[in-house]
Amino acid sequence: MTPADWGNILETILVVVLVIFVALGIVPVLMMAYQFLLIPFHAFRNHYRKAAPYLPNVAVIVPAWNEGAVIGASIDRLMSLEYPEGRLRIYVVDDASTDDTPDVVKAKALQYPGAVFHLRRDVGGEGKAHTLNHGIRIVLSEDWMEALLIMDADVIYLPDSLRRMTRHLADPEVGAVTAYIREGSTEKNFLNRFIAFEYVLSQIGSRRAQNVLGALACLAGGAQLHSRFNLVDIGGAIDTSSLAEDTVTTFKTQLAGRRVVFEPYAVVLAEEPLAIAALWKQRLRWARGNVQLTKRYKDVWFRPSRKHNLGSISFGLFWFSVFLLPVLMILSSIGLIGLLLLESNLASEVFRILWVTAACTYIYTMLLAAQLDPVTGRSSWREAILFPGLISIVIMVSALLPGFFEVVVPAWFGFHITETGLFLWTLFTYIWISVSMLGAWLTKAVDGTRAGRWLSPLLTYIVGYGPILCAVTFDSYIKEARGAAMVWDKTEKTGRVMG
Amino acid sequence: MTELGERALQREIDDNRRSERRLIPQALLALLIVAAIVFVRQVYFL
Repeated sequence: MTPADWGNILETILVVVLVIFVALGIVPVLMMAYQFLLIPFHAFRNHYRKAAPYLPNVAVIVPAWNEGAVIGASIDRLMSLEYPEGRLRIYVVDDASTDDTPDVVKAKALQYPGAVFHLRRDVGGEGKAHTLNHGIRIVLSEDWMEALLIMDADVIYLPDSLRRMTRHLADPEVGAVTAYIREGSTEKNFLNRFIAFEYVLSQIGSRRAQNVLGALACLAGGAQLHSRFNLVDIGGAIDTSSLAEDTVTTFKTQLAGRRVVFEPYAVVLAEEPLAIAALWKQRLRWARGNVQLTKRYKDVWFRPSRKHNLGSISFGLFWFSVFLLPVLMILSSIGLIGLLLLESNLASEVFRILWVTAACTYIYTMLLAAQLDPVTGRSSWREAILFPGLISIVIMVSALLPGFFEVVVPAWFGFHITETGLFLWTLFTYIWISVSMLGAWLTKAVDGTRAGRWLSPLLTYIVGYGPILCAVTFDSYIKEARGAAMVWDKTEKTGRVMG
Repeated sequence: MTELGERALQREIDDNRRSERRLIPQALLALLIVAAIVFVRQVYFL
């Protein structure tokens, strides 16, 4: 063979590798589409046939650290839940608060004797799991509790939410139930509206799909109801060794052979961050927890089992398409740019396949999600449209409607794009999928500045909310690789949620 | 739990189960709109 032949072979191999890189970028898009295509199957594959009227004795554990502003109202709302009197007890675990939390809780204990209890930890700051375990130990030392509800101090349960959760525990195969956490701030800023729509996608959308698959990724930290049997069986305590104690509990329950059910009609209102920096901090903790769990459960992934569905291929693909999203995005960009530089005709072909798939998935998921929660759909319609960011939408339109931005729009203004201009535009569209994460970093950087007040929302709409979550995941890789300290940062709450 | 209360709770479960059937037309509507956009693309832009 001549050197030219070797050159051709090497180029072919390189092209195949680059096409595989781009194809890997399509996997998360396809998994998103698959999840949302599963949602209508929840009409047939749900747990309602096995649910039954069931109102067990429920102990509510509320971890509280300096929650004086919100804890009183939270207790009042819990006591006004549509649940039989005498079957509900609230245990507020005060994690060495330095504000008026103890006084507020003690006053409520007097107001609701035998139903509200103040448990004090004199040394606090070890994290939510330690605080919860303090309460769980005390609750388990008595026989009264039949089910345990773990919640956050600031969330608000709608009156019918608890009884809509307990009905699934009538089935002994169910170990735990979770609810729909809805962003509940009375006056939402741009970020709250994005989060509100994200929760529609990730909870009443994605978790319905997980119900269909029979494997749930995570019980919401602010709304998880466990049967006593399940709680005892998973060790009678919440995991304290990772930043994702809720996910560990969810996995332990399912690995023990019990089901975890998401109940879409049990609604819990929560206050979410107002600023990008606070969101980043919160999501970084979640993402780092997921990195830790991916390693911890390495023997579970892609190993189907008769006992649970966490090892199913579908669930593994869901998990890793989120966990590896930043890597897949970068590989996809490398693939596209490589093909462009090799002057391969495949570059534009695979680009179109990638972005047309993304566009169709985006349109379908947004339209379905807006119908799943019409209230949030109406209040967050701008954020639903701009969820992937304005630039990504322009790229989707250019992939869906070839020539629209390159020929049609310039013609409206009486000019045409030169070949160099076209090359630069193509290059930009190919690298945007990765560069969007840098844009997300920039959005976070400007958020704390004076200009951030107007620049941060503007950049979020342009760059997208999705890339922010992706950049946080990338940051979690870095923090975990560097072995950064595991700090349980509490998200600041101000009592903006009203039931 | 009184018999009346139990009946109301069971009715609520049945109502919620039936409500899930709405997911089918909702998904079909979303798919129909995607199909319409793809049709426009195929007919007018390719």
